[in-house]
Amino acid sequence: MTTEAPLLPRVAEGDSSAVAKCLDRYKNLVWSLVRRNCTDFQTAEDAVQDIFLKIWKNAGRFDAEIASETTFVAMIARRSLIDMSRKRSHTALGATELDQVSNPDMGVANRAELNDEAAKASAMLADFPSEQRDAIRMSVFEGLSHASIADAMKLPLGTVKTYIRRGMIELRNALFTKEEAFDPQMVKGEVQ
Amino acid sequence: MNNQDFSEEFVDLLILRSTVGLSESEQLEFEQLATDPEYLKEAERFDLTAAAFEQALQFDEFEEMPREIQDLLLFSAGDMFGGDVESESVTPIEPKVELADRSRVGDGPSTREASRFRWREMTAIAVAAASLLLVVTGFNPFSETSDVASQLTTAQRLASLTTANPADLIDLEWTPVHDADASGKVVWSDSRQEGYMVFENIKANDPALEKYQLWIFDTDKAQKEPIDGGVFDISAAELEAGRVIVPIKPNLPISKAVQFAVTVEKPPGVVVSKREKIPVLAAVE
Repeated sequence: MTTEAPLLPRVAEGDSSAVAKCLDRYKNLVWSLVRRNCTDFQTAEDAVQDIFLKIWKNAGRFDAEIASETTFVAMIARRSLIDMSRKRSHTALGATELDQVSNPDMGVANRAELNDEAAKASAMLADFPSEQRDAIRMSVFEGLSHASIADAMKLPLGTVKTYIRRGMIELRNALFTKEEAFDPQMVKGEVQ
Repeated sequence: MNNQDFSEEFVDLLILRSTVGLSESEQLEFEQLATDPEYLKEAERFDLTAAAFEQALQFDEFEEMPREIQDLLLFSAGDMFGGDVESESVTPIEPKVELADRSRVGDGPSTREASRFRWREMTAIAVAAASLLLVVTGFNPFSETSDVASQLTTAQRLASLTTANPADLIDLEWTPVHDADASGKVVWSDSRQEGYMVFENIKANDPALEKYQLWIFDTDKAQKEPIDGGVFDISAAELEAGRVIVPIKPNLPISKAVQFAVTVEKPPGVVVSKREKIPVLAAVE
């Protein structure tokens, strides 16, 4: 993924061949995210259409200097799913039940094709204590609330919050050392 | 500006927002704080941070997106970008279940073009119907309560489900019980938790007086009562237009559906049915 030229600038210009390639490139990333967070097929189908519509509409905001295209797409997908979840039930992002929380021995991705942001995140996770890594995974990947994570890990709530907070801030600072950010138009409220 | 320039409370909100989402009160708090563009940029930096962690934690292979959804996306893209959007990797699969008469287009071989043409025709029908309605009545049928638009979408989804033909797909004809003329079928997939009821010649109901309600009998549930599959209405206008397709909306996950029964209940529906009036039912043999 990292070596491929970005497609979103061409999508923003209305290049239909880039639109199809964009779908081919990111369909499984988006689908995997959606399936992890939507329990039924119909909701998943609606979600994936909504996400791609937003990707195409926001294509002009992508800037390769700020983040990789994959991370930008994943961000839009996550933001949409979180907003959908909030609208549906004001509950956590993930549909995962506590008894389905992933294997505690689970490691972190070590794929050669990880983009820069994901590679930094992967390296950082590998350096974190296992408890902190698990807390971040349950929060970011499983979408569990802090209280649910504390229950599952049998840790004080404050410890869980601190693990997640420190991890998020550390990676945020590693990724954005300069005053880098996309145009914030889609942040306020919900992704448009 | 780095994250030390923001209050701890705001950073906590951003972290919650980018990981599990905010409650209503937290969302209000966020909106009050995030009036400065710099705050909004910081919110997006945390969204990107969470997306980076997400990718780092995704060590399983990605799940393949079903082809029918890829087809739908290409169709949507074609409409949005004003032309055909072709993908080299997307080849629609042969529909294994005959689509409804109102959805079927031509008798040619099932090709990618045929599949896309079917979606286009259905959209064209809806657009034409919408335009006519707008001209005649001034009513915009693409509002949220649009019968035309929602019916079309439901028909598309039914077609999508039957085309996908999951291994556990149930496709049963209704057996009339207290409505001798009623016919149609019920289509359901346990694995997808998705299904539709199709009705023809069933009696229209007066929503002020009575409601139709679906009940799903789940063999894996250790409960006496069936699961509520949703309350719905059937209007005379819909019946005049042909068959009526109603999505199934169970209020609990279904493990293994074995029987479907439609009852008539007092508005707004009931928690437990006395099963006094059962227009149709369908059972897995």
